[in-house]
Amino acid sequence: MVGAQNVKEAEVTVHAFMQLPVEERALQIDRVGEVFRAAVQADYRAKNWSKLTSWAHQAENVTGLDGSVGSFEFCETHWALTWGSVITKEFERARLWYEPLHALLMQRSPDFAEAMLAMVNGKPSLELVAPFLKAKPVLDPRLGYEPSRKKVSWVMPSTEGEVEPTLLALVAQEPWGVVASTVTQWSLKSSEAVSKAMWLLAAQLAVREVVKRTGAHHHQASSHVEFFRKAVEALRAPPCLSADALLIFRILAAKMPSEIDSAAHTRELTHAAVAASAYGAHRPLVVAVVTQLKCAVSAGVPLLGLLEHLALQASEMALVGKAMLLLTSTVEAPRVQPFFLRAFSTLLSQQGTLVSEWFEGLSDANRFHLTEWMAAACSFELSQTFLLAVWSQASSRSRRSLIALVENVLLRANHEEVPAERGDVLNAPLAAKARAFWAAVRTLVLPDAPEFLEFALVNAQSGDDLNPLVQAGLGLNPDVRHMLDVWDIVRRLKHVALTNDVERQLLTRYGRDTSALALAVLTAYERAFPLSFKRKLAEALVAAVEGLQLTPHIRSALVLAQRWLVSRKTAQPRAAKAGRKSKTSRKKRTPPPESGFVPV
Amino acid sequence: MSETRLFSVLGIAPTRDGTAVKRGYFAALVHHQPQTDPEGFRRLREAYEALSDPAQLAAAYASAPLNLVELEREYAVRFDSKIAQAAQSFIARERQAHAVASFVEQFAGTSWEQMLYHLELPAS
Repeated sequence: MVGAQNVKEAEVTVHAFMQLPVEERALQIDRVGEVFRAAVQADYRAKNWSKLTSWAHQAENVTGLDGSVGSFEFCETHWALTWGSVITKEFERARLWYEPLHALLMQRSPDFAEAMLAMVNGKPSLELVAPFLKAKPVLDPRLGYEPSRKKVSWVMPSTEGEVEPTLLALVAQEPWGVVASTVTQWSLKSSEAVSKAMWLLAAQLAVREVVKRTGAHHHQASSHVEFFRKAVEALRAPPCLSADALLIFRILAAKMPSEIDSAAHTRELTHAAVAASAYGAHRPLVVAVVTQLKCAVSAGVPLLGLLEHLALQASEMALVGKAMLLLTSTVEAPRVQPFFLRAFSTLLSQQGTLVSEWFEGLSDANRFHLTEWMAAACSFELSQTFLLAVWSQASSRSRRSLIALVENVLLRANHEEVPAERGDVLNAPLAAKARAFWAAVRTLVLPDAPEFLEFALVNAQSGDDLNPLVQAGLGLNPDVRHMLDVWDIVRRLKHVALTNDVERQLLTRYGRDTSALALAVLTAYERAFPLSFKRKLAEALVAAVEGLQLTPHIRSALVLAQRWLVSRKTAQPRAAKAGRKSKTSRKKRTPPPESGFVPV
Repeated sequence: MSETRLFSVLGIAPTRDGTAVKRGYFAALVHHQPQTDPEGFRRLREAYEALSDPAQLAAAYASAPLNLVELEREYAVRFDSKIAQAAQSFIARERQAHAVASFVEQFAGTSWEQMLYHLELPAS
């Protein structure tokens, strides 16, 4: 047995021997040969193939190191060096060392000699080696033996020609997950041409799998569709996959339920949509399908991801609008929300008409959800821009949603400023945060939302600010009682000039309208307006009814009016005498007489 | 009306071509005159109006059912025999590689003497 130390010594010895002149080698050949053969056997037993190749290389031109021809040690040395060269694929050297053995083996077993010859030539053959293989014991599953599946180490194709047989065999032998990961890894290591050929063929094979799985068996094909998408992306949407991309998308779109209720379905369609939308010609189709999809809340998040992808290519109203509606119901989408809000904002500033048309086209329920969500989740600025953009074209039904938006924004601002505050927003003070919003939208919404009038007037910033609001308020409703409302609010705000102005407008507008004046008198009575104002109404009424046939309610009003006027005639001299201004009678008011009409 | 039925009402194959839709409508109109078949005409008109909207046409085309059996057959013709052939040659290569590996495992590392003994060959 030659140990590691001895092998080292053998190396040194053989090396020194090789340095000797040829004539001196003959003197040392026996001793060195012995050391050499022992070292070869030691390396052979240790299966140190590279060292054996090195020995084979050193000794191939030196006669005698391998012992006398045909001797036992000669055969052992040649056998070891042959295998060392075969395993390191040095076939020329292997042939050289095997040659003397071949003749010996041919005498004993020609078949084995041929099998070995094929081996040393680097062309081993199944037929030649098979007869010499040991039979393996038969494993019987009934005894608990399962034949282990041999792990195949696939050889990466190195040329375009090798791609097809390798990939087809891979598809035949391995599950799709292995195919997909193998192709992905190979593509990173291959040349550009080979990588391209691999992606292309693998993509077509993925389509085949999708067709097979969705056709007869109705199985999920998510991983295949995902792989196809990766291939389209890796190849930058080659024209030869355009038809396949459309086909996969159509297959999946056709099999989607009327309402998608699973995120897995959405993801599957998403991969197909991304692949198809890489081709400009298919994009309108993808957008049309995706924007008309109905999906449950659980399936909404992946769909939002798809909408984001499509909107990144081109921000269309249909996509952004669909996303906005999805966001109203999908709370788990904080990642995409800022993106879509920005996109929506851009659309509002650049294509407000489109947004307006889209908003009009929504169902009442969707409009309601959208405005409610917008008031709660979007900035006041966005709500304001949105409202200003869509208001003019909005129908009366849409305007009710927009008015609700205004109310909700004001409510939110109030709650943010005074968290404990609850209740009717119109009776609360205007929150500082919402001032700009309110100033921008109040004149728009007032005509459709007279309930905001008092809030608007109360929250006017100044007299100059108040005047246009009052004028707008007066135009809201032709009814005299509405005008009296406006007058009353302005009076309570203690704005004398504007109060007088409204008074003047009222008397001018209704000065000849006995019915309206009568109604005004009765309303003034009911609401206990100041006597000075009631008298002005009374004078106007008395002047208007002269010579007219009176209806019962006008007659009632007239009685009241005359009473107020009489009380002035009697009260004024008394007040002058007592040195004080006249005041409204503190007596309990009684219903007007003789009419049957009793003001409540 | 379900999107998938729109094309069949017009009697045409799913298409993205608006002109084909119009042609299909007028061809079908001959058989569904409003005076003689008001219900058929109403359905026809409804389908035509829906498909006249490009977005709805696109959505209907994309969602129209495909003949998957036929498609599967096409793909089988295109790939299956090639895959079977590739699989066969792969198996043959694997078997050969396996046999050669076994041969190497069996003889590489055994001595000349052991080899002769295993093969029951005379030592000299």
